[in-house]
Amino acid sequence: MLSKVLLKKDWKQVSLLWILLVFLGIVAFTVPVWTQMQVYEEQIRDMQENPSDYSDILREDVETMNTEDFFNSNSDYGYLGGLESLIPMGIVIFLFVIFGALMASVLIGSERNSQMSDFSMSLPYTRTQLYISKWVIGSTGIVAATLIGGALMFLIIRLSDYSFLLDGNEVKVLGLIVFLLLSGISFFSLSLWMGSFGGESISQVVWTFVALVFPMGIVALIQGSLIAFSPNLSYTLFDEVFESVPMRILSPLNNIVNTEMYSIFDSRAEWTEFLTIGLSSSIAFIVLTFGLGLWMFKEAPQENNGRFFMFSNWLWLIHIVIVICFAMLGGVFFSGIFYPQSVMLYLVGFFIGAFLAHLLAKRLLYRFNLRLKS
Amino acid sequence: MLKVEQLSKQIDRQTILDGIDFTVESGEIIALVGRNGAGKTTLLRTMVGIIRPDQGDVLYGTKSIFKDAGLKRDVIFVPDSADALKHYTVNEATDLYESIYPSFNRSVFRETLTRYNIDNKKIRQLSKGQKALVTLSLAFAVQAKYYLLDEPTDGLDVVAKSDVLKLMIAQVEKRNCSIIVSSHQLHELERIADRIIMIENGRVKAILSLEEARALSIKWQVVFNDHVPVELLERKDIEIISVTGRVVLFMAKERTEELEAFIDSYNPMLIEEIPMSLEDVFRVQLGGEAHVV
Repeated sequence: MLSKVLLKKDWKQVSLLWILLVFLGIVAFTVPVWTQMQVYEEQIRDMQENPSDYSDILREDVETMNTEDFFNSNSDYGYLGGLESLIPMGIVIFLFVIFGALMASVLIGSERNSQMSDFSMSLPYTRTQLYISKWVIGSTGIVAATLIGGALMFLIIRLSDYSFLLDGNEVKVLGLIVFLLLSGISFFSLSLWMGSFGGESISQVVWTFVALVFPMGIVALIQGSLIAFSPNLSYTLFDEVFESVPMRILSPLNNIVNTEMYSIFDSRAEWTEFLTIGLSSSIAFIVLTFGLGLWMFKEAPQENNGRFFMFSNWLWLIHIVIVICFAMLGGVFFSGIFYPQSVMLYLVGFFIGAFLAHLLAKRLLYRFNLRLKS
Repeated sequence: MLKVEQLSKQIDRQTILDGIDFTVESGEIIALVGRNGAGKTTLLRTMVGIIRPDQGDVLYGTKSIFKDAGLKRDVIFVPDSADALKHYTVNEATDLYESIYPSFNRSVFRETLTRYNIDNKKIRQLSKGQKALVTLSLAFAVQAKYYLLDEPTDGLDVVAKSDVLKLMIAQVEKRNCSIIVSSHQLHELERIADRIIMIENGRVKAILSLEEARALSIKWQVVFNDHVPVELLERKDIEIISVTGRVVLFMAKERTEELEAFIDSYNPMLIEEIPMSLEDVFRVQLGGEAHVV
């Protein structure tokens, strides 16, 4: 099913980004660790040199304290942090979101912008093979960046003065590295799926951004709309929705937000939930987006290359969704800028948002069209 | 045998292909002619599976090209530009083709490169003529049975055009492969095509040999005794090319007895039949320049 020739062809397109991703991945995994260690060192040195400045947290003679004591959350010496501060989750996720979208848009979107897409489709390979090859080449970039970067990060901590932080937490750190890996592949898979129906690279990137925020965004808009009508509505329901398993599966960002690193190292229950729900939600998302992407890539009408949305029979649905979302956004915005919230203002915002969104959708869906030879 | 069966395709609710039906035999060069927007490129893209038809099929032997992608090893599409390979050097493109097509003959390709003095540069750095020669040579080195060429000589200078045409003829002579070529360069197609497929508004208007195409219409130069009759100039079924004094040069879509009788009724001094070029046939059958969109 996987063709070496197609891998070679896709490698030619994406090699520069792939290598850059691995390089930046190594930087993202290691440099912040190094920097954080410097911060710890400076903090400890400052405490040792000016103990009077920290008299409220230092209860013993600072001269007798060793490095480990500054990280003991159960002691009275003060707590500088732990492994959760050393592992640069945010920066790695940011890198994977950006590079996932870039690689996917080079692999599909920019192919659609040029005649490369026609060339690929005219080769003696199925569309399934074409898609799998693109998915594999992009995913390997994320795997390589994570494995090399993660291993170096592990080594840096292990060989440093802060090695004691790892003791007993090795598996948890490994789990977090796997989680980062799965999250990276999730973002890439999502963006590649968006390329299966976004007719060129800009559309693909826009769709990726929309898909990233849509699951959480739509819940937030429904919440805002309901609150505009019933200000006393309980927030608990929506908190439960955000923390629910389906929501964690549908939104990798939500899954990350729900993964609290501090709790993972501190609480056995959190660690078990992370192992079960956190990791499996990522895997489920990858399977879902890969499957949908493959199916839509196979079905996408190639003659609609260059358009914002390639499935022209479904434009009406996209149009309605855009109008509803922007209408709710307008309503929530208008009702939120005045206190107390007003239903009338919500309705004004709703209709203004709907009207503007209708104009935007008309332009985006029906007129935005690159001039490619058909 | 490559068989196009009742291909139909609508894009944006417009019919682009409408029941296209023809067969390509071994060793023939077929010219696909039609006005801009007639559906030639869409037809070629559909024939190689880039676009899926709403109805109809493209059969290679008995198998559908839409169901068996492997058949495309013998049906090669060459688009009108080398844009797809622009980031490749000539050698990299050679390696790519060699790995895709087991039948790729590197020495045949090298021979062409040497003959036309093409260096191993990035393809985007080559001249337009060299790009056309490289993409065509790559395709021909595959030793496939069918080639679908979309305006291969578009924008080339006279020498490059001649080289491309020579390359095409040589392939058919050597390997008995078939070429379907779409082009607006009718005088060139005239030199190489065995058959003409005229496409009009997504339909096959006619499939003819060159001789049949020429015989289909007439081009007459008529010298009248005093002046060119106004009734002739007003006829809708002819296209007047020029009127110089008593001499009129015109073309008609069909040779009809009524037209002959009409001309004879004015007792002209001379009626001379001028040989039709393919361009003349195209103009008179598919509409003149005044109608070009």
